[in-house]
Amino acid sequence: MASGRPGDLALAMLANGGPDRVAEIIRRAKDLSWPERQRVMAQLVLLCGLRRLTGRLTMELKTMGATIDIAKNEILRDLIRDGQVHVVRLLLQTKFGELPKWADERLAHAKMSDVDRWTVKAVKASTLEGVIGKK
Amino acid sequence: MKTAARTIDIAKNEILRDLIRDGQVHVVRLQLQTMFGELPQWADERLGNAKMPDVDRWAKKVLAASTLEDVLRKKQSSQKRTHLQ
Repeated sequence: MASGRPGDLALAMLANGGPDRVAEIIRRAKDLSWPERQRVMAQLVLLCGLRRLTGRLTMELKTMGATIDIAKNEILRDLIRDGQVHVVRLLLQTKFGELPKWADERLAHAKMSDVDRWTVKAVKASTLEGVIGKK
Repeated sequence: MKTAARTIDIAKNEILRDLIRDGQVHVVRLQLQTMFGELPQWADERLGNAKMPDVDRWAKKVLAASTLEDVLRKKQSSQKRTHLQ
């Protein structure tokens, strides 16, 4: 914890555990460079969720005037995207039946902007290719 | 999901679950708006309070539905029948 390195901050929370460490980790993370801060905040979110400290994390963030920009945090953004892709897959399966491998692969590599486009197209398209493009 | 320190069970992590659910709800909302236009407040609130199983159920219904109510109608609760002996 004393080193201030991102990995150490997260490990400190795992090792010493506690709700009391949340504020200290946020305070130290604020001094880190942008990419390191993003990584630490993502780890903190994950660990707090795992340890049922969500309320504590929210409170400390508010108190310290800190925010976590989910859209700019690739780990957290990927989770939202995974949820989006899950529903698009369900929509396509419901409309076109079991998906072929190429469609599955395209979904797995989808970006958030793809998901929005495919969701709108799925309403009118009569073929799978009409939604996510040609094979 | 793996971090340097340990494997994280998404199902047991309320923040991760919420983030994934937010992503799911985003797609259903977009689908409903594309089909039925701007959503009324009651639909918006129902989406805001959705749980993961709700979202899956709505996603399967949405393409075949002809009204917003068809999709978001609350699940019929199975009423227990009491047989008087």
